Amino acid sequence: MGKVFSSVKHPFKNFNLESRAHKIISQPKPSAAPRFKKDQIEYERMLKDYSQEFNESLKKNPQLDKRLKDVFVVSRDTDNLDIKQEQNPNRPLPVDRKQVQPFLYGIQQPKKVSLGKTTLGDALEFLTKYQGDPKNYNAKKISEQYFLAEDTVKNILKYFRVFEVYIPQERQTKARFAGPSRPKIQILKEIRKELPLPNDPKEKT
Amino acid sequence: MTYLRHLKSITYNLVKTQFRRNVHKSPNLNIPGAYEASGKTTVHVLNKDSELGLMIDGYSQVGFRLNNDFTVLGSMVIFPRSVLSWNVNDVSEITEESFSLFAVIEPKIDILVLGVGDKLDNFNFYIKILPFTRKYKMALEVLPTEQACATFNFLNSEGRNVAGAMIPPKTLNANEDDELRSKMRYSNLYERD
Repeated sequence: MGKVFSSVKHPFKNFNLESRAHKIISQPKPSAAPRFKKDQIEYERMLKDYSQEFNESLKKNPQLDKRLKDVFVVSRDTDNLDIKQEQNPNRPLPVDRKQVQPFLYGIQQPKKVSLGKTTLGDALEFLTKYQGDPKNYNAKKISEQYFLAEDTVKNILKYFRVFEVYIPQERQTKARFAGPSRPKIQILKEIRKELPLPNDPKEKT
Repeated sequence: MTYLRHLKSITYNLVKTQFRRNVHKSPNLNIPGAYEASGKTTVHVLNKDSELGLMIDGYSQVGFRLNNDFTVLGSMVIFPRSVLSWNVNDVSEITEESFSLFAVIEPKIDILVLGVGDKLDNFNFYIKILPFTRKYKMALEVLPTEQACATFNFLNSEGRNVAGAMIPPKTLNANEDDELRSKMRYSNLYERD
């Protein structure tokens, strides 16, 4: 509603606006707006109580006037404008302005890792290695190599696996399937190849 | 003064009856300044931008399809650019131990998006992992897998150090369009056997 009212009021408000404005601007000295009643009473009380000080403030003070005249500010251009910042050799400022390439794991891997922690890259590495050789490359060895708690490593190896690619045999699809990899050591039940028996007469030539 | 008040009341009534509809209309979008570019609009699909990292394109009861053309079977743990299999098949199997990797990874992950499969009625499993989240100050976002996938994609596109632990949902509400799309993906529909 406020918008409608203002649009109704606006033409009256702006009536003869320019000439009114000119009238105020053309005054040699602008007249101060009237004080609030409360302030006016206070002002009058002050005038009455400190009339001497008020009259004094209206006069020109030669001492203060002289001080004001004495102040003079000069500015000059300095000769060496290009001030070089001193470089700390231990912490050199960056020189390479090339765009940062995306990191391998999305975020930068730390160079130093605190004890009991590991980076994502290292974790993926030991998980892959473990899948390849679970007997020799076991939790104990990993915990020694990467300074991790052995229980933590056991849990990680239990719950996290790298993927293996599965190719469906029945039909040809565009999709590639990846499932959790199984340990490589398997016991083959059926016989694939037989070595010739020793002292077999057929083998002799 | 009374005249003015009278005028005010008349205008008020006039406005109330005639202009109410105009005044209470929600802001028009076709006003100049709402859309300043030239006639074309572009749509940017996050999943198709390989620079933004690994993202989840789809999910089913058996696993997840990622934007690098891989279909992951079973639960998975997904990082901005790498993915691992997660040996957890149900919400009840989620324990502190199953989160062991997130505790030791440095730099610490900003947020862990946990997709719990179907929409849950009770979040009692959270009691088991609460001490873990407190101990390692892990920010956890527990969502049904459907929402969790989208949340992960968006957080990853923002370049955050996010990890997603996703369990495939057991029930799926697929419409005809989804069915057709998945058929087209895996076989040629216009070929006779």
